Amino acid sequence: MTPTATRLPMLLLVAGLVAAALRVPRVPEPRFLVPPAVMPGERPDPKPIYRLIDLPQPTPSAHASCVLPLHQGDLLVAWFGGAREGARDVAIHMARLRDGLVEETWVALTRERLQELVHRVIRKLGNPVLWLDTAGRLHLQVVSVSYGGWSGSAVNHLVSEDGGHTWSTGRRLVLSPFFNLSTLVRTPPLVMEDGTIGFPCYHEFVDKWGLWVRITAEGRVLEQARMQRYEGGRLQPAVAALDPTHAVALLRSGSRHQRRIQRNATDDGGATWPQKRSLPIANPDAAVAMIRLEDGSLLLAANPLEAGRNILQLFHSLDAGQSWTPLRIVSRSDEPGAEFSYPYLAQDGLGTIHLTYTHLRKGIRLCSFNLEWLYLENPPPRPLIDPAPSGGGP
Amino acid sequence: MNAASMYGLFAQGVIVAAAVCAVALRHRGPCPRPMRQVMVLALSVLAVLLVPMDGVSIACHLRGLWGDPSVVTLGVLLLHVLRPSALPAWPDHRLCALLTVLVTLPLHAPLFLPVPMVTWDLYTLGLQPWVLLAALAITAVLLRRRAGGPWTALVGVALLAWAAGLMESDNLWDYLADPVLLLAMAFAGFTGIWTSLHR
Repeated sequence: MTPTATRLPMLLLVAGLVAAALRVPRVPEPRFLVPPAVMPGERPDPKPIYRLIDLPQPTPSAHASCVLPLHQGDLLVAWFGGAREGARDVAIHMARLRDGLVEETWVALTRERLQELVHRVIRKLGNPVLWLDTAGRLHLQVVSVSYGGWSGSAVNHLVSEDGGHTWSTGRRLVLSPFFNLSTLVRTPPLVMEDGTIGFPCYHEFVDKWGLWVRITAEGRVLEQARMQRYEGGRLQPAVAALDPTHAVALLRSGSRHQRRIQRNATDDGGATWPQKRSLPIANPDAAVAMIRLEDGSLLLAANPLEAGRNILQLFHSLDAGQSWTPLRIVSRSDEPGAEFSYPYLAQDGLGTIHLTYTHLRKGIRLCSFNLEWLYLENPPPRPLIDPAPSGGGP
Repeated sequence: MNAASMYGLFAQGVIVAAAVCAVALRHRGPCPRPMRQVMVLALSVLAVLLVPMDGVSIACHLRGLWGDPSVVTLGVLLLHVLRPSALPAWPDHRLCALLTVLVTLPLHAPLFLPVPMVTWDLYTLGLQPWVLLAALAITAVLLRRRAGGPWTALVGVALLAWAAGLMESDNLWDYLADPVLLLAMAFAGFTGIWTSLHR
């Protein structure tokens, strides 16, 4: 071998090391973007508001909705619908609402279109999650499966410039070293102070756990951290930021033995999630939703049962999710097989809270209300506890 | 179509070409007819890209099945198809076994062991890979007398590919290795140790 041929591999390695060192992203310390608190009564018209809307049902089955408040009080709702969960005709449906009325519904994404965008076969579509970046572009993260069941899922990141009618770019997020198997999303992301996005997702191949991922608005993965679990599988973390460094996550129980919601917390902007404990709220292996309300308190929507999803109830916490007060029951039925599940919460800029959930597996129901309605029967103690100093406590 | 998709679809053609060479052509040593190898590669790539199956190309099916191979694996497969004589032998079996213990097992343990038992996640080191780059640089210095081989070149190409953002993944690990390559390395390492113990 000539000296040049001998040196070439080493030269390639050195060039690669230098190029890679130049490409390593400079990632600022993670800090959650937390809007300033607005106390009840500060709104000009503090009358209780409550509104219930059944969204159109273009398919026999609908599930896993999400809701995104837009500017001027408009709402976007997305869900997956088809013949049944996992069927090949399942598509992502969307609806746009204005002033409490459904203005438009459409099929936002089909399996075939996603195949074209990510250049791989897609057998079924799953949970969608919508969010806006700081530039106002609409993003959709959607679960898809190429082969196998839900544990073979991956997350796709799409961007729309026209409010969700077409998706121009598609990207598969790679979050696991083992064939990128089994990463799913369900709950809303959080915007960080530097404009990056932190989104909770979860893994459910062999074992189940929550995962916190930080990405750029273009979908580049910057960081990821596993959430430690208490015992048994835990999945679908719903995360609420309390201050720039503290956040709390509530996780669905995937365990047959410990059917309780698990609480995790971070005190370093999501870099680690070491604090964990089980809450005294039952969970029948069903998704939960949690948001930080504009008054600084936390709102939880869950099925507080060990079996069945026939009661959907709201809970309220003033101490960073360590203790929860049961509030109103949103839906309840004693009919066999009744299901009010997969809640998703959001609060718009006018203070109205929007809750979407699966109604009997046939349609999506939107329930909109405000803090005055929420506190009508259960007024919170005054003053509200500022969660910032003790927010990350175990 | 972006570069990552092109890489992934082309890689499926290379995988098929390597399988054809391994099963059908069974070449050993220097290839007597290099043009035949080029033809196999070209036809394989064209076939998986152009032949439709259930509405998408075969490459899309294969990509959905096992994803994209690492750059190092793709390099090995390309050598296998085009220049079998340059195909790199596995490093010393002790090094393979050491890498399996230090890399493969810790990388995948969090996926397969109950989480409370595992508090690390080696995979995250590939996102802001200063530690990984330092480890590679130190290894290159330590093994500089034996670092003139194709493995060094393939790792160098993988680093360049990561710098260019060639694959879908943002994680350097996915450029350097994939489960098939790591499993093959573990097999080479431990069968080598077994053989040396029972010689």
